Amino acid sequence: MIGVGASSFERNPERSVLQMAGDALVRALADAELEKDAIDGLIVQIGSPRGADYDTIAQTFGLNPRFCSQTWAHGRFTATVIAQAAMAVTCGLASRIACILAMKNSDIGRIGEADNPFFHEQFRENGGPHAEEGAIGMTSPVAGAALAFDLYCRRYEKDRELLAEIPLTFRRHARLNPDAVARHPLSLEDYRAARSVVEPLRLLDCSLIGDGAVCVIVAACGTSPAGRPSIALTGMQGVQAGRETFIFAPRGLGIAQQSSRRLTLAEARAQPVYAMAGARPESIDVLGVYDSFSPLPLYAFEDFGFCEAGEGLDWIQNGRIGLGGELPTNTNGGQLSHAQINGWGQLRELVLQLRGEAGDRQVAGARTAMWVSCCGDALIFERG
Amino acid sequence: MTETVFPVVNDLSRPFWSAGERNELLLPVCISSGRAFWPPSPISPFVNAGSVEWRRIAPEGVVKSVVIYRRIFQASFERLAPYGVGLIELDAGPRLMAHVPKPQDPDAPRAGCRAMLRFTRLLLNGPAVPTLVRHE
Repeated sequence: MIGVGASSFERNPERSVLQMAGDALVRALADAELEKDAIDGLIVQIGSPRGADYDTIAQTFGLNPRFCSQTWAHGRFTATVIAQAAMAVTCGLASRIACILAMKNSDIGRIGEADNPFFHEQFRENGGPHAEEGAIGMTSPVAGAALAFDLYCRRYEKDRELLAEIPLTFRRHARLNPDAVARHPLSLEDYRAARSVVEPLRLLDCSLIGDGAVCVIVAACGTSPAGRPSIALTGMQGVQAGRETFIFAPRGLGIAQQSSRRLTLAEARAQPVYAMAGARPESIDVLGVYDSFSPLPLYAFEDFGFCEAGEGLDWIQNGRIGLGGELPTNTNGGQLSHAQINGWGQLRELVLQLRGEAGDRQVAGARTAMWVSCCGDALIFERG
Repeated sequence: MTETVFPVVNDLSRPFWSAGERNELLLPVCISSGRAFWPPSPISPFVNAGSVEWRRIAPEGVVKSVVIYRRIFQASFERLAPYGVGLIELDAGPRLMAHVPKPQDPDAPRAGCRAMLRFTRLLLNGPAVPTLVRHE
């Protein structure tokens, strides 16, 4: 990952998503010390109607990619976009690929509302992309997240209030990040007093709307600007699907058509990303995790072997996932406090952490970073 | 954008919704394994090249979870708020999502209790949709 750039992150319905994408691209090019003409590949996550599609981006900015790709208009494909770029470089389809997420949500309301362009997806055949079923009133992604978390707390007999550690920790991180949309202090009292959205989840369990763009330039190892540590992608695995998966749950929780068989710790530690990278959960110095709802990191910690299935709520306590803790996680503030851009804020943060450029949030001596989500996708990076 | 709250009804899903209008539960069944499944598929999700037929299934099972909508996203559901959405594990195997009317009533179905699916018209001119009622 030879260059990274971002727009500002804010809620500004008047700003064009192309302005954000352009800012991110220009800054990533400057960071990689490249001219625009050097870009011969383009991969976009989140196109229209929340972002700009690959054709618009190339035409508008005067790029001439010979390899283009784009994933659908939702999240989940963060790791997959980077994996595609790595494969395209390795196969010789392109040599320097701009991977771009640019997204504006502030002008379209919340998913689930009638004036949101995704309203009709909840009537998608065999269920919406977040298990929505509009005909029974099950609208908006938050309901599936609430069901899974309720089921999780019942299965493991855990107090849901333990969850506060996740939004509170990520907010403390965001307070150190000048880029974050939400930087005001958040107390346990604030968290407990937040209004319920779909019980048992509250407003502060949901990521906040924030518009912005990130661009990451992927190229062959050894092509970073002189004098800068290279950030090598050493392990990757893609999004998983099927009857054993549920968008907002760990494998085998027993929601939808899943079995009730969770991964054992040994199985979770044997996820292919670790073998590919020659790493173990203990090797990870800094973690980025998908957190559009605050329970989701728990499932990723468990399914990737940082702790046993059902232990997540206890495991995260006492500063373990905060700066200075055993596994500093979402040091940029995550989707919960930095901006809801599907994990690209975390991806950029991991690059900055490995380069030693994370300012007040720097994890001392960070050499190995990991991106992980409860959808099963993961990336591991090493500082060269 | 026009708000609709009607499900997609087509050749694949029509048996479910038509039976629902008679308050009956029909689910697709893999003929080779005899297992009912959800959501509907033209081929068995369990075995290779397995064929499928719709069969009447006992609409009974155990409630796994109920969540309560405090924020309303669809205007047509506003007058039903606060309402619940629940996950039921049918005795026949599959799990279905269902609407839970008045989830705070003392006799409302809640996690751990037995319940049955009743197809109920929630909205004027709307289809009969699965709702949960307690069934001890």
